[in-house]
Amino acid sequence: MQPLAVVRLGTVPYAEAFALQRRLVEARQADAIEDVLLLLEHPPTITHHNTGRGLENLRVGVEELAARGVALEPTDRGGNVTLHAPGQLLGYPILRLRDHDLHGYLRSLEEVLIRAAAALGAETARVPGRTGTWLPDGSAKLAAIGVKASRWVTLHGFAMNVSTDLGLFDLIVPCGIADAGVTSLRRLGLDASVSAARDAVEAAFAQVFDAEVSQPSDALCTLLPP
Amino acid sequence: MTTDVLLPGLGESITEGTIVRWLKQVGDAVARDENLVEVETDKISTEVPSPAAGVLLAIRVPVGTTADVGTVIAVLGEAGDAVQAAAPAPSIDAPPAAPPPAPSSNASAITRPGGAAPTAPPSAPDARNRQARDSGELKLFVSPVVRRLAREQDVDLGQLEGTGAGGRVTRRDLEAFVAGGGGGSGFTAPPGGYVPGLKMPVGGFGGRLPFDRATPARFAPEVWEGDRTEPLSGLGRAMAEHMAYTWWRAPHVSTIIEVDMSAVGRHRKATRAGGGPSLSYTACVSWALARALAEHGTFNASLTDDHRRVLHGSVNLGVAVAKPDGGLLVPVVHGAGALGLEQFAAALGALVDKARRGAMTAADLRGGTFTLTNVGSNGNLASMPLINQPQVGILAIGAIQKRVVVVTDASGEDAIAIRPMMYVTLTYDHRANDGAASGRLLRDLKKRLESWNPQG
Repeated sequence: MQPLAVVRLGTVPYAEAFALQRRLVEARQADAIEDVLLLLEHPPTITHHNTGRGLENLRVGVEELAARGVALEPTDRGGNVTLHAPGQLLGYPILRLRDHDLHGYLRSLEEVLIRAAAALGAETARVPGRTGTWLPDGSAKLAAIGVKASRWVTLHGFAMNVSTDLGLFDLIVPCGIADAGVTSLRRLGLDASVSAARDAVEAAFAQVFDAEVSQPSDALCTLLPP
Repeated sequence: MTTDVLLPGLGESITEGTIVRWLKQVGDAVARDENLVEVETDKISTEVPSPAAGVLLAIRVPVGTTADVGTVIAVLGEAGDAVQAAAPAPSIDAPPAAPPPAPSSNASAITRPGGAAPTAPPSAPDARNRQARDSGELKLFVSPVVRRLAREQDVDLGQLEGTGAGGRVTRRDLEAFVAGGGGGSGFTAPPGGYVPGLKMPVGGFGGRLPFDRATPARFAPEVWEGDRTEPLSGLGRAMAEHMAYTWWRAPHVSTIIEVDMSAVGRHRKATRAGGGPSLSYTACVSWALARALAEHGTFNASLTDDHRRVLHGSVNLGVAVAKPDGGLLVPVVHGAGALGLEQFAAALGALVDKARRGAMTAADLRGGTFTLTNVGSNGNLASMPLINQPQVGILAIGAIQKRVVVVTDASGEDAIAIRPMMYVTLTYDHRANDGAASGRLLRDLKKRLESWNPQG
């Protein structure tokens, strides 16, 4: 089993978490650190691809975003525009993909989310062609996935809506998919907390990726924010 | 000779990918394994490294286009080919496409002079050159190396007088121009600024230091026969970046005071004789410093980019600890300003022990508001340390040495005495505090140590 350091960061501004990930990816590529799973939340933030792609899926102007306290941040993960806000659990795995299979990785992340959701009381499923974790009837998405890999080391990851203010999703066309909605564990009538979701995701992640959760190494600690 | 770059297989079920962005432009030099292009498939994007070293001659699949795995997406070639590719369309007036001047030994894969037998230009002239030619910008031929160096150093090549064949701007011309003060400074403020509360510069400026650019060629190290090159460890690189950042970021000023450690020494001895815990000098000075910092709040602080000072409510004192296998860690005693001496010493002792065992956790290293470093372990007397960003000060203590000093007795008579003396250096960020404030902190610390009161 591979060692995996699970780092719980609390609420971190998007740009800060992005920079941290890039630092960790570089260290992981150099084999200076072990595989890492960052678990965190973001303040209200809309992310779009740094080539500008996806901005057409914003439903309001930049001024309104600012007025509503929502940051707009460029990123470089796969996928379209998306929204982060408190109550949404982010998981950013910095993993070396030993089997060099990007789609296999996406399917594994879906498996983690389906198992974690099940542990929290929600039945979810895959929808072919629509990466993420969906209600079984495909009407709404519980968790979104957007990933990047560089030299087979991953960054970015998944976002599971636990108690997110779903009204904020009206600001965008989530992931550019206009004909389906977004849901949360709370919307499904479950009394789940982000902290319970963290535990469920950590357990499912270790299971699916056959990893042994261990204390972060010194080298990793020096790269983490205090 | 050219090399085709194919869209690689990215996983069992993946048959196609979409070009998100080219990380190199036509005419750019590419090292083997350097990232060349970003490709996206489904919800995952990945960087594809170059299969060979050379120069990017042509891009066959533009951004936004989806291609099957195995499609030729670009063509790489050698420096000689690149000369043709990067030059304006040949004309009778064009100077001969001589190879670029020999690069210094470290230029590695960028060019290979000598192999410049002109070959046919690539079939598709690239857009950048066409545009440059149309705008009349490229009056003279410039080698890709020189163009890249010019870009890195913010030099407009039009400003230079070329001394090469046909008035060509050579690398030497560029270097001479830059050495003479031309070109941009290269120093710009980080876009997001430094984020207080982060020990390492991980936030706010995109993971890249504002000054972190390619080393100008004239400063690149030369590697001679018998030399050995080794990569820095992760910890080593983190330190290098952090130290370079702090040096760039904060105007450091150091002030030194000398302290008579007799009273602290007597207390240590008495504690040990009374069956109490063993108190190290580092623990005693750190504790006194934490107490002093609680009263000199402007040193227990951080600065923000919008010119505000964050005065931390708690003194979280980091104490630098050398690891047995090399490297340095700075575990943090949280709430140090409110701890009693023995509590503090116990907390510090536990952290030092953990650091030496390699059992530090992230929580032990987080949240420091000020740092102390003991440089005396090898008999060193004083040091001017660099500040641990985003803190605004650091204290260095040197070796305690018995020295002959002049003391004044109770009746006002001067006498020569032998006393254990120690130099204490306060290095502070002059944006956050001035010399008078730093002098007061040092005087206070000296007083606490010389008239030692273990009850605080």
